[in-house]
Amino acid sequence: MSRLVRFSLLLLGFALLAPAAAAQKFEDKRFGYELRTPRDWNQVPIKANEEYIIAKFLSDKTHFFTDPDLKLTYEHKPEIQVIAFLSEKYRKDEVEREENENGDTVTIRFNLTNPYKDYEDFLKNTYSGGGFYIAEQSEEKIGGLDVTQYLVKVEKGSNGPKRITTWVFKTGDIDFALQIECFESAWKELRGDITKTLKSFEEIERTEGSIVQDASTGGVEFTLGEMTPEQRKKRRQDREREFHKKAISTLPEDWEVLEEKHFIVLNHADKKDAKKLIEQGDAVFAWCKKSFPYLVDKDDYLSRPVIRICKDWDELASFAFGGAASGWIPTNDMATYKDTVGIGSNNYSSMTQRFASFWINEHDSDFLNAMPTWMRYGLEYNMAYAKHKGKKLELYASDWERMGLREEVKAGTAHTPREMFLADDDFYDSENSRYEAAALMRYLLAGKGAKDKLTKSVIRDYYLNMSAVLEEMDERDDTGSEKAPETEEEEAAMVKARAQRLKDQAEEIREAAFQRTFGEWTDKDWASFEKNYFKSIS
Amino acid sequence: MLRHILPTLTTLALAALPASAQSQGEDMLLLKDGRIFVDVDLATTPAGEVTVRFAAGEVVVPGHLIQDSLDLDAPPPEPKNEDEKAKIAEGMMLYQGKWMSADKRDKAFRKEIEDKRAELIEIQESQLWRNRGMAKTKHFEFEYTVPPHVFEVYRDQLEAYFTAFAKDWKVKPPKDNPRLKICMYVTESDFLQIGGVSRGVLGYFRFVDPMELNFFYMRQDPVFTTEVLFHEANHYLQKLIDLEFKMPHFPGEAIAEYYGGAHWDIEKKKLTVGLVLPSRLVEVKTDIAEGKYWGLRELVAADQVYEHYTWGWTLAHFLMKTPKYEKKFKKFVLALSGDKKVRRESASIGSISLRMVRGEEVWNTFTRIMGLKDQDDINALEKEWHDYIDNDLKVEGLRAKEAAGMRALRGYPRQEIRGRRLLTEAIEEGSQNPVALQTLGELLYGKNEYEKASELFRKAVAADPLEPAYTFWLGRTLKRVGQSEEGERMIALAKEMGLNDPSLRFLLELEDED
Repeated sequence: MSRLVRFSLLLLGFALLAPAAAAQKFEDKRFGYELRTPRDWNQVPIKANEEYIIAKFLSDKTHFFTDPDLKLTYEHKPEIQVIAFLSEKYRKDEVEREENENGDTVTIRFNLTNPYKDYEDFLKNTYSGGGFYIAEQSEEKIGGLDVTQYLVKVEKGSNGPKRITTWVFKTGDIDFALQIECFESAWKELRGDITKTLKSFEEIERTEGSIVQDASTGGVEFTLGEMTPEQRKKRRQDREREFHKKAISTLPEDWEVLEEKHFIVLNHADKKDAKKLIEQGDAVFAWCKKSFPYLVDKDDYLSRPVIRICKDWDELASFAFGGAASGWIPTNDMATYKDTVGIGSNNYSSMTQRFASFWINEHDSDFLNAMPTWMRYGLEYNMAYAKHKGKKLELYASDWERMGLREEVKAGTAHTPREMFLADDDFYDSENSRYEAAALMRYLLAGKGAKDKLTKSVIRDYYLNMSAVLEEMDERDDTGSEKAPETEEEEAAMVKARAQRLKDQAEEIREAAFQRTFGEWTDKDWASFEKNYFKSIS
Repeated sequence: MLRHILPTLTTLALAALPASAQSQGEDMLLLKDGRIFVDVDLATTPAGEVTVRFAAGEVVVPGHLIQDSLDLDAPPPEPKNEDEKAKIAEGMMLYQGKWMSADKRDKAFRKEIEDKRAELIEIQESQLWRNRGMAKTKHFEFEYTVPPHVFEVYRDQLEAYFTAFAKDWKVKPPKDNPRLKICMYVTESDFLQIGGVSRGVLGYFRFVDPMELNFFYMRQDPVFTTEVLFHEANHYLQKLIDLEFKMPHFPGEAIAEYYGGAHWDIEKKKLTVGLVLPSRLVEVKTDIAEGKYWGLRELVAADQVYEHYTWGWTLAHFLMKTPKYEKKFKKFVLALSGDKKVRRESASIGSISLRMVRGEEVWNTFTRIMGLKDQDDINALEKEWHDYIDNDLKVEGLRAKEAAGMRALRGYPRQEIRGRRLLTEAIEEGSQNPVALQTLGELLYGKNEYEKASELFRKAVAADPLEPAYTFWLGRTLKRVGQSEEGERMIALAKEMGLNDPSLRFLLELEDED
């Protein structure tokens, strides 16, 4: 080959290599390492309940992959994760015991020890982006540290083939896994940046915080026995303080913290978005207080949840997924993302539902658990379409609901409230039945039914009656004292009887709650209720 | 196929081997069920048994469990007669059936050892997906991580299965894609991880291009492994009826289950289809015990219910095994994709368009082709089918009793008396299934019947001596019957055997609680 040709090929070779973007330095003085991430890769906050992932960074650039067979196009933003595997000395259980003045409350608190042996074990048990396997593995010595290098391929069941490049740096007491994931098809473009980032990892002196105290945050708490109202309030306040502190301390620098009356807002979107969401949350809380006053106890302490507004869906996904509890975020960490649609979008609906469920759960978690099916769907569907006007929350029927009910009314198949109260769970499998439940709840909570003397306390009465029925059934539950079968025939009969009893109990609860709530109603009362209700949906 | 070379080893030959090759923990063992143990210390008996030496004791592995082994210090074969004694006295050695000088024999032996070690190491490494084995047959293209001797069994039965079904239903593979890719994983855990599916899935068939079937090898239940393979392969075969049609959940899953109940006779290379599936039958019988009989319309018209696998299978079995219905049932299945009178809808996955039929239309087609003109006809067929379940499909035979017994004890609602009776009967009738032995053993342990439990665990250990869970349970039980020292030793042995077995973690926690 002539020298000229060889020179040309060399130039071409350089041209094919995408230039590496200027890097930005990231230091973690608590865990004691630093690295350089490519420019335009942003740090993503870490969940407060995360135990292993200590840093995440997300590229600003979205890559695309089109499946050649299905012709479906998938999107992905490359992501860096730093995962720390602590040595035994950091993994000690802690046990605390507390007793109230009667000596009957015991609280045991302990930290879950790291159940993963190493990076491979962690990946096997936590990765949720598709089927994967280790395609290459080698041992190297880099900067005086032993490093295991992995190439992981994600192929089957994934939204586009991906490649995970991981280097595990073994320091004296912590193994740091630096994991970078991108589309296989983007590797050629990103190879320079990714390699530079991997090579940039260095140990530095630990000068901030303590690994021992903060490394494991997945504490589990059991409370046995009753707490006094003061103890309960103090416990809530302590936990809230601890949670807020943790959420704020792990926040990347470019996020803002807004202290609001009902919420701590961690915002990575613009202020306008945050304001809109806070107003909606405030309105939901106010509405709940007005609609369910019987759930409020004067000694209750309503803790302030975190509203975490990511700048887009990718940032939210990066925050929520990966690690030991991938996809799960505690209910007091309401993570969402900047919503370009606003009120009426799925994201907005979901936040409204979460505000309502948080408020109810804080005041009386039994209310959520004991709700009959019509009430549960009714509340869920109404919250999905609720909008605030100023400080007031207004309930609306969705277009789907209006269409569904119109069909039912026209066909003469719309159900009466009495039929809905007495219907079993199967009835609510149908979408139109759920729309009917939504219309009934709206009528009782915010429609004419909320003012009508006859119906204004139906929801409260129904809930209280249902709770009473459940308590009574619990008290007379004799399944524990059931005589153990002695023959196979008796055993078979017991199995059959138990299956039947479950069906009967569900029906008994519905019937009893209904009787206690409406037992004294006359035909005229029902006629009036039905007339007004049907008028509201016609 | 690997050969068993142990009887040809001599101590003389070992003396010629490098010192490192003689040290402890360099032997290897490959079991028939596919497990491979490397760097272990073996001792071979003249009877062909192998003893694995652990720090906590020795484990004897019977010859019938062993596929191959590499024991560097196996004893020389005893001379069989005076002639052989004389030859050995002259310094001659018997190797591969021939007498030769010690030097020549050493050289040949050393090469054989190196080749065998390389072969076993390759088998072990091929359990990683990146080193997977690949093979092509007439109708399939395989990728697998099980040892070759395990793979060959499934390869052969799948080809036979394809041939039987293709002949029965007159289907052919597409000309432009004549081989379906089959991915077989050595463990469930690898299948879930690499196949990208969640726990509970036993196998899957990707029904759009590139079509692919994934399943795993359940070493403790190879028959069930076959059932899963045949079930998933049947979805491919159903697909071959019409590539652009998506078979409805019923009859799709019901037929897949019907053909999943097949037996491949390894010796005779013969396939028998349409057998009773004990695992499905016990689910149906449990529903009946709870007072639930699925109705014909309820089942056939449903778009997608789990009972298509269980009650659907009984319906397919009934119709396929009843001569007066078999032809009509097949006609109904083929009509779903090919009959002009059937109302089909379009469905698409990405750019791939498929036609499908909803449950109500499946029911309409079923009643039309089966000749069910009115409710009386429907009731009559339904009664015939229910009678068939009650009278013809029975939980009989060892495997059925094992399946029903284990379901009664491990499923919900738990039926201890029934489970105990069925498993006891199965074991008394000769079952040596270690999982059944362990299940019953655990029940008896929970009822403080330690002596009986220890006998069952002892049998489980004898059936599979290298399974740490059985050894653990035996040790735990022995501690309860006054054999604390032996019990502790067995638990220590289980720990040694199960160093890399995540399920053992849970068992050891149980022991810590005691």
